[in-house]
Amino acid sequence: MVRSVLRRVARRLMTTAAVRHDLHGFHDAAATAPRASLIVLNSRACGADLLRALWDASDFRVCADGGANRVHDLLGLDAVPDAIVGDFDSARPEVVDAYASRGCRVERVRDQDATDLEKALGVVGARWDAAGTDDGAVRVAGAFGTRFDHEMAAIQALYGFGAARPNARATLHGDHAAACLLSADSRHELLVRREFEGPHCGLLPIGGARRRGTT
Amino acid sequence: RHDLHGFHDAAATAPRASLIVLNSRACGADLLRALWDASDFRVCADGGANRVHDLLGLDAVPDAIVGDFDSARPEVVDAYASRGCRVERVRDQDATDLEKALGVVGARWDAAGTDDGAVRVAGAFGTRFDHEMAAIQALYGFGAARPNARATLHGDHAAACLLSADLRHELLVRREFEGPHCGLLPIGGPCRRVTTTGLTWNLDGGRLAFGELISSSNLVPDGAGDAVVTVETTEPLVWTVETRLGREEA
Repeated sequence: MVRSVLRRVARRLMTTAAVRHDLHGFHDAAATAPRASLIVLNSRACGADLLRALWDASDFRVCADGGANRVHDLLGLDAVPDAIVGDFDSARPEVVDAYASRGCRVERVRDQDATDLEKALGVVGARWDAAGTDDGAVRVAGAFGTRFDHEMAAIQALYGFGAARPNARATLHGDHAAACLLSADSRHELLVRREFEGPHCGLLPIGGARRRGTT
Repeated sequence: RHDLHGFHDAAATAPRASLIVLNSRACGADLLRALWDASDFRVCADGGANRVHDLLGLDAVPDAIVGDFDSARPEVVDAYASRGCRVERVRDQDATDLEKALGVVGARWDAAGTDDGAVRVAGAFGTRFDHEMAAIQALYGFGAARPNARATLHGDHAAACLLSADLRHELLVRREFEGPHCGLLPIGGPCRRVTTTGLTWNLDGGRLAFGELISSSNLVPDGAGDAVVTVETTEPLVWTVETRLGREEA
């Protein structure tokens, strides 16, 4: 009786896998780091070095409106996004045309209730759905160091994304900060690469109190 | 009633407030000077003293510098101390330098029997994200501890205040300095019922919550002069507005 209880407990411990996070794994040699989708926001809070590293580590790239300007200005015309999506009130027309002529898909989405970031996440998600992928990863460049309400909109997108796609991963990136949402009721293991991250870090219950957290 | 940029008014008419200066590059000289001139009590949160020194000079003497002193330059502290500034080293692992500075402001109000004081915090936005969150956290704590007092956060590009529950709030939006972008952010938790007027997208008893609906890119409608936005909420709610200095400096 005791042995069977112990076996049940042992089985539960072995199958309780931690959720692993490696926010800067993209700095690893491209061959070993898992490729993710990339969304580029219209923000100066992601410099050329970070954008290049994120770009090279991604296999699908979407610009949220004026994010196309950032890619153009920092990486050049050879860095062709897969799609530019938004209401096109910030992307420069000549940039959009140049990328469109190089094969980039241009999707004007007029939706008052969705931010350009949410539209871009929609494009990323639709591609996953078409491929039957439920555990994809997406990185968002330029989320921090920008207008405060834009930072909050990025956090909001994290929450919505986490609720809609519980097995997928989204990380927010800026020149000075990165963030991800830790889902409830799982053990999370965060690999902190000291070369790129820390020492300062935080656990922020944005949007609601949490009853119990353990670290 | 809220008037986040009333300090730009001629000093004689704007109500004087306490000022806390944070150690942040997110408050430039023009904004800092305007906030400084409109305050009657000035506290630097640690390296905020460096900012005052570098942007306003030695003639701008804070009333106090408080913190754990891991960022304020020693020569700056000494220079201000010799000019009458109070230096308070507070070693408290659980309080940020901002919270220590709020403590100094609050203690002065308590000594004067003031329960409806106002404090402005310079350099809260445009800085490290976790510092912005710590400033928001301080807003919530301050609002809970001192319900009749007012605290506003300021940076070169944004300002914010906390709207308490169960009161009708009237926000004067000075178009010269504020907007059009604005937001209502339920950072501390869901607000079950929010009602607004004066925004491009108003709420009528709707719920605001992260993961559901937040109002992050609302707009104050175009118009001349100032606008009035009203907000009623069942739980505390952060109001934020995009800012600029407005008139060109001569």
